[in-house]
Amino acid sequence: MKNYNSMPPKIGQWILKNLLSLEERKFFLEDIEEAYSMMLSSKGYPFSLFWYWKQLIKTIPVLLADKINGSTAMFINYLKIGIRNILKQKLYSFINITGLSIGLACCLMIMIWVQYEMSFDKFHQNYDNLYRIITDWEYNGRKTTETLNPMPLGDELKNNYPEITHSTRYMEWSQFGVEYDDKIRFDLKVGFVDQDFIEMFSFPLMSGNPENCLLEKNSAVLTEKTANYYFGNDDPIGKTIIFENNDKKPLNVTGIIKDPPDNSHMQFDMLVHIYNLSHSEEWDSQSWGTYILSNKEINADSFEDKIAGLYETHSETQNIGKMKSRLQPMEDIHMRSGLDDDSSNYYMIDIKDMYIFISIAVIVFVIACINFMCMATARSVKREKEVGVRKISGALRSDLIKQFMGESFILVLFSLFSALIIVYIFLPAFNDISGKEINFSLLNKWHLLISVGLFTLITAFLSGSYPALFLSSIKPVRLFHGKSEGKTKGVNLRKSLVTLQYSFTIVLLIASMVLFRQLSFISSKDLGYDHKDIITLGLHGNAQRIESIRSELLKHKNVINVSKGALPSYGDKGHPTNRVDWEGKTSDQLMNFDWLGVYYDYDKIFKLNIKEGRFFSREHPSDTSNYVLNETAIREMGIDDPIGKRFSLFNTEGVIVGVIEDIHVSSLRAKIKPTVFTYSIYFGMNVRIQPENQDETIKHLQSVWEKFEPVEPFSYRFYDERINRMYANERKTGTIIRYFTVLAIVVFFLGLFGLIGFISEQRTKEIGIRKVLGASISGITAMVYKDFIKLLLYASVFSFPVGYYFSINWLENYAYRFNLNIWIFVLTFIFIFAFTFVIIFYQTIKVARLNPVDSLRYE
Amino acid sequence: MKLLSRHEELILLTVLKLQDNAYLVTIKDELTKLTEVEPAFGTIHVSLNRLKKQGLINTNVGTSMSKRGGRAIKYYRISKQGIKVLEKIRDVQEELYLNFEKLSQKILAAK
Repeated sequence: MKNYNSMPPKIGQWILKNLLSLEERKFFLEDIEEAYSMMLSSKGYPFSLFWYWKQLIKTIPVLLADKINGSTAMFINYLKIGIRNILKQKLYSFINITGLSIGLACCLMIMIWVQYEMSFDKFHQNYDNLYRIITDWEYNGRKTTETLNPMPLGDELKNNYPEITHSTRYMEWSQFGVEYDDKIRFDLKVGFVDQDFIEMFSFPLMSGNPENCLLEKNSAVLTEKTANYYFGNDDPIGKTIIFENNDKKPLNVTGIIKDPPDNSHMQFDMLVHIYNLSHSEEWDSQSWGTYILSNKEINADSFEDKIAGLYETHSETQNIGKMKSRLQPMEDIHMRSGLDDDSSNYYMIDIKDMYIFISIAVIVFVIACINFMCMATARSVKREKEVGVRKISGALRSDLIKQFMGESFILVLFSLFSALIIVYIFLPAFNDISGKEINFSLLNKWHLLISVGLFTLITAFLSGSYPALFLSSIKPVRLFHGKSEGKTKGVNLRKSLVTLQYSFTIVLLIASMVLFRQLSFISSKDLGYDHKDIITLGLHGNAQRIESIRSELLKHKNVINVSKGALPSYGDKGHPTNRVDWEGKTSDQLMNFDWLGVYYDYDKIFKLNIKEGRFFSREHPSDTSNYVLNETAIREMGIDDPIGKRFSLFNTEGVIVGVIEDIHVSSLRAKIKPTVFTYSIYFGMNVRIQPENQDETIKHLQSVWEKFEPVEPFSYRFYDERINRMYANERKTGTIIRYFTVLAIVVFFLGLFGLIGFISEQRTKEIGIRKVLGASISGITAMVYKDFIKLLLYASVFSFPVGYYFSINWLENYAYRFNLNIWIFVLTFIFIFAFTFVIIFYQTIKVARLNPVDSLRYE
Repeated sequence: MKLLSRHEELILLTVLKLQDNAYLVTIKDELTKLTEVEPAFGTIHVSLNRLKKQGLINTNVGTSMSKRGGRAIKYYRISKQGIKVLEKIRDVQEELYLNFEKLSQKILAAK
């Protein structure tokens, strides 16, 4: 009657099998099979299949509910035993919970942070279709990638390619005077843009017409903050502000825009039409940032090929070198910028740094998990008897696995809560170090919460798996026979885990030491100028006013000299430009110059060494359009007798009056570039003062300030402080890595402390016998040392090359770096060795000093 | 007195009705026939377990040459206690259904 070849679907049966207990399984499955085959013979295949799954869908929840209901009693028992165990072994639980909470806290912190960094620019509605144009440029055998494009590029793309619907140029720059009534500021970040900007990006316009607020060349859009500064509660729309750039231009305020949020790579205080910066429509000058918006997803690669020929068609002089524009999607700008100069990309971070942080957090976490496992295996000997008794009274292996997993789950849950508390408490401190604005509520995202939950589960599972599987496999017969498996089994695993921990710790330690050395190298490196005892003031005005402020300042004996100018190493330097020309320039000579606007006596403030000629001076009125170059520039230009030769920057003709020795105008990551100094009065005021009696000097500065600037409150900065900010990013990275390293070391040594404690406790009897037979205390400690020092040596063999490799790799970011030598490695080794030594000594001596009578007494 | 759920009561009655031939498949078929709604295997299984725990039914594993090619089948059989419970349930029901016609007529008439 029955046809047993016609079986129900295997998956369904498998699911059912797992939902049923052992003794029920067989009959239930066979019953359902029977019903299925009956159905099959009477109603045919598709119907019975449908019937089967309908049955299953109804059955599964019922069985599941029944199962959970039945196991609560046991669950409560596990919970009770688990908590009792945790309380019984206080030191052990303390070490585990501290370690795990630190590890989890690190991971959580990094998770929140990564979340923050990933949120950059996402608020733009056109996020997916916005691109920044970056250009590869090959000249003089040098290859750079920058955001510097020809002026007409954006319009050209928009007009000739239907997929590009909007384009805007974007240039962010400060050092322009913005004046209204008697209020004037020079530190506003001015974004120079086109009308399309408003539509492309989602910076909401609070008032003004989005259709045309930047259409007119004399229009300006202020952010709320700026508008508030100039106009307070008045309505700024329609008011006229004065914009100073070489000459004074009146601009109409046509709109108010929301302040750019923190997680935007564009930061500006006002927007004006790009026309106010330059009207050149040449293809040969590449100095402008360009953004485009496409109407659909475009394939960046094929589009780049399409526009590859643009430069050859348009360039008049054909001497712009080899250029290729590429599209950089919005999502790459914040973390994968990869440009040589990206100074208007705010809060930029290298994704490599992110990876470094993520891996360090994971390392701390893994070290904590290993602690957990090691101690659990070491402790297992103690619990073997419990397992034996449980097994004899009928516990199945699966019950024991559940029990141990449950215990580890309770521990991890404890740790998770304390980790959350740690994160909550330390987030402000973390923000302080990293300079971010991350808040706890970022954690309040469902996908983040789910990953935290999963993470916890996995942790509990991983750290509980070994003891659970291993302990539950013990055979009670052998156990009570007196042959314990626990002492030998798991030892090798434990050893390799400890070796792994050693390796991680060594690599971390090397990394943070290399970082530390490089940072102190940077701060002590001779930058080619003297940055001490210089005060910067935000005083501005025309040449006449500056001269009178200057003479007023110089009246005090402690003021040595006063000048104005862009600060080297501070990001004040102008965007690199190729709009330079000189006498004897050949058509294949293409160079990008860094340029700094400076005032008379700038060289005396920074103690620059003049190599040839002279610096700008008041005796030569024509110096306002003359130039001073650095050695590198002269070398790369290839001219012999530079003084008096014709030179021009931004089409302003002049002559070279001097050559100075090279100084570092940008960070030590980059090699010194050709640099040109040009006369300018628009940068901050720099005052060189005597190192003594600085309080008195500052009082004098204040009185002068108040005389010339009665509205603005007095403010000053030491240049030293500012220069420190240049490496703020590196310093942040360094500090964070240092903290993480300390945490990793703490967690590791805590674990080692616990582990060695357990091991020596287990060997109490052995040590007692050895003592009876005449072993000395030092001999006994040496015995324990041997084991661990061996592990340390294994770890060193593996981790020193790895640490070396990473250090070399990282140092390659710097054109100037310290000499990596063996001492860092030796120090690392000594440090870890010493710690291990102390811990072992402390733990073994306790046992070794016991009277053999006590240690040999049975239990 | 602890009352059974309706579902459990039905199953218990079905087990009684099927006498020596009560196992998952036949119980399901019987219930389908009577109620015209097909219950899920899982629900019957869980209810049977519950009844068994209360001692209202027994199980025995038997073979039947005519079915499944002679493989074992787990049969359910009502216990004495089970019968007692059913009796009690019937008493309660009869008590409640007393005068059912009269009372329901009254309600219907009032409409």
